[in-house]
Formats: sequence, C-alpha cells, structure tokens
Amino acid sequence: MNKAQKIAWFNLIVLSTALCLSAIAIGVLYFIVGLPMRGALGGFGFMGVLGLLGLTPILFRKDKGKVQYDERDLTICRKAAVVAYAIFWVLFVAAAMVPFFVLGPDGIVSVTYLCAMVLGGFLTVTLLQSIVTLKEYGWRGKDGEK
Amino acid sequence: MAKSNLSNQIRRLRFENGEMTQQQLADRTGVTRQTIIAIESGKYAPSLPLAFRIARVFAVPIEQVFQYEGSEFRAHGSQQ
Repeated sequence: MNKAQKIAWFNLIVLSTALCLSAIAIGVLYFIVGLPMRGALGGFGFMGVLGLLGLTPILFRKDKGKVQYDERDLTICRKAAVVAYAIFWVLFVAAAMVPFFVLGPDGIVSVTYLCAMVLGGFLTVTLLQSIVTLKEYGWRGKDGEK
Repeated sequence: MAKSNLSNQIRRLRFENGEMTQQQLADRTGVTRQTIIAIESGKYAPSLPLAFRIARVFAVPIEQVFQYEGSEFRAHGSQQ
C-alpha cells in the first residue's frame, strides 16, 4: 500500500468516524435525552474529529531516497479530484438552487444552511476523492502484486 | 485503472536480464513497484518517456517491450 492509499484510507476512516459519532450523538440527544431538534443538532460537535485530517502531513511523511509518487499516482490523483469536484459542483449548484424553487424568490434561508453547504461540500469532496483513489488502486491495496 | 490496448514483454525481459525483480526495474526507471506491476499486468499504459526508460533498461527498442493491440487508424488521404 503506497502513501496515497494510506492517506485515502485515513481520510475515509476519520470521515466515517466523525459522521457516525455525530449521527449517534444527534440520535441520543433527540430520542433519549429528549432535546428539541435544534438542541440535538449540537451532536454535530463530533465533526471536530475531522481536525485529525490536519495530521496527514505529519503521519505520512516522505521517506528519503525512495520513490513514493510517480506518474501513475499523479494520474489517479487527478482523476479522483476531477470526479470529486464534478459531483461536488452538481450538488453545490443543486443546494443553491433548491431553496429558490422551494421557497420562492422572496424566501429566506438560515445562515446555518450556508455553513452546512460548505461542510457538506468538504465532506463530499474528501469522501469521493478517497473512494475514487482507493477504487483506482484496487481496494485490496496490493494491486495484483505477486 | 482501465485496461489499456498495450501488451508488453516486461516480465519475459526481466527474467532474461538476470531475473531482475520488479523493485529493481522500478528503481532504475524512477517509479514505484506498484506501477511496474500495473504496467506488467496491462492495467496501466505508461507515458512515452517511461516506456522509453523501460526499454533503455533492457537495451532493446521500445517495440520489443510494448505492442499496440488496438484497431488500426489510418490518416485521411493515406494510401490503402
């Protein structure tokens, strides 16, 4: 497994953990504690786990003297980015246009909705980029090594 | 990655050149072993410079390493 695959797996695990913990927290606060939905959304605080993504440069340092990244890695990286940003753009435009059609030209959207769009966009891009990267390398990580 | 129309003789050439390992070929061409594996199995079509570097390692013309198996394309106006 090379560096790009390790980073993709790390991103996927951190994202999944953050999403699962947030979903569980919101569920517990809403259904068990009995908070109103507005209060239960405080469970999104677990999205702070995403801060672990900032450790990527420290955790996956470059080994000296060894080729870790070549033209194939670059091709895969570019393809993953193109797929991720293409889908993100469609979703972003949809998220921006749906309120217009639902609420009308004089409708009002909460500021939280804008923040959710940004967070959702970040999650979408990171998630898709990781998935496409892993798919392109082959999920097993060894890519048919013999 | 998608299968390419290129077939290659890298495995045979490696063994004919002192049973060179994939890692040794990777080191001499400046790529990762994974890339050599992907090229050998036809999952990845290398760039032209990399194809030349591989051919140079084996000291053979590039056509002896890579063969194109796709349909023939003819330029407009070319003689049949």
